[in-house]
Amino acid sequence: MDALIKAFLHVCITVPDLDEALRFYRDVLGFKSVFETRTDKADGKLLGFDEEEIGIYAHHVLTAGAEHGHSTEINLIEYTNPKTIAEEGPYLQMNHVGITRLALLVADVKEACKTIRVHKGVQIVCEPKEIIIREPGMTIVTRWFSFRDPYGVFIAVTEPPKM
Amino acid sequence: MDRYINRLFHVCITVPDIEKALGFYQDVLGLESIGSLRNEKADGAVLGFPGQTIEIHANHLCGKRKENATVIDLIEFLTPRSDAGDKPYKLMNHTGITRMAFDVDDTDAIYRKLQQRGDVEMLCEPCTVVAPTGGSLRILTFRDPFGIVLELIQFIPESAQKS
Repeated sequence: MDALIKAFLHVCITVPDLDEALRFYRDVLGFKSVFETRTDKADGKLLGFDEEEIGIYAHHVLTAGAEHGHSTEINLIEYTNPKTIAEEGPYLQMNHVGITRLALLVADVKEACKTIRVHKGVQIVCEPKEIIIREPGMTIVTRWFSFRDPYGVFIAVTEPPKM
Repeated sequence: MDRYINRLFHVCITVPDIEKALGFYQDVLGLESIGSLRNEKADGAVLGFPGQTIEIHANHLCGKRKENATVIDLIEFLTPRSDAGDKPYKLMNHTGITRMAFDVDDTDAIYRKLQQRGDVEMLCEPCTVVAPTGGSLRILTFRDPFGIVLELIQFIPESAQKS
């Protein structure tokens, strides 16, 4: 079978207010913006809208040390026309069918949790905890915590596993 | 600002039926499974099910470029069951993780393959847009068999374009 797909290019998070979102994704999580666009002429049909042209404001962000063009970006996007639908937040339950969550890799889960939890609007879902995976002849200790961003987007955080 | 996130580790797609999902993500899109779990029981706390043991089937998928790649974590929930009653986001301006995009070599070849299936809803026919960095992009957006919006992006450098 042919591998049609070269790479996973980006994942899109729709937010009601991009400048506010950047204060979390850039200033707290430390993502770096590599591309910015603000236009009233984005292709509406392509994104499934009835309108030919829609208005968007977007930043493409990357993690520390990631190489532009070779890593999956997060595409943070605020719809300006039609506006982002904010009343109904993201999926409440992780067993909802759809793209439900992101996972981030950090050096130290406990430190990351300390930094993230103090940002206004962040809700911790699960405090840092060890999850032990037992395989024949090997025990792997992974550590995780999970939270919702100020808009309710579900994010799990882990660190490199210890054997 | 300290940058402590190493990378986007994975993006999770919850599906109602893992075998049907693999039939699409693996056999049609050609993503490769690099790990598989069946009837895996886990502490539900990290995923927002405190005090519950959850049971899942999961596959980790990636494209041709594997080095440091963000993987797709395809998950079918058994306990509690994947909730398919409420479909994925209908509109892309809904707050949340709304879509993901893949880098491909030939958008039109995949488009023809998707058309043959009959269970894939196109949001828009393949179209060519000017790339912000020069050259152009051949883009297609569609819904997978569960309603999740995916995007294919083929980069066409300026030198390869017919004038």
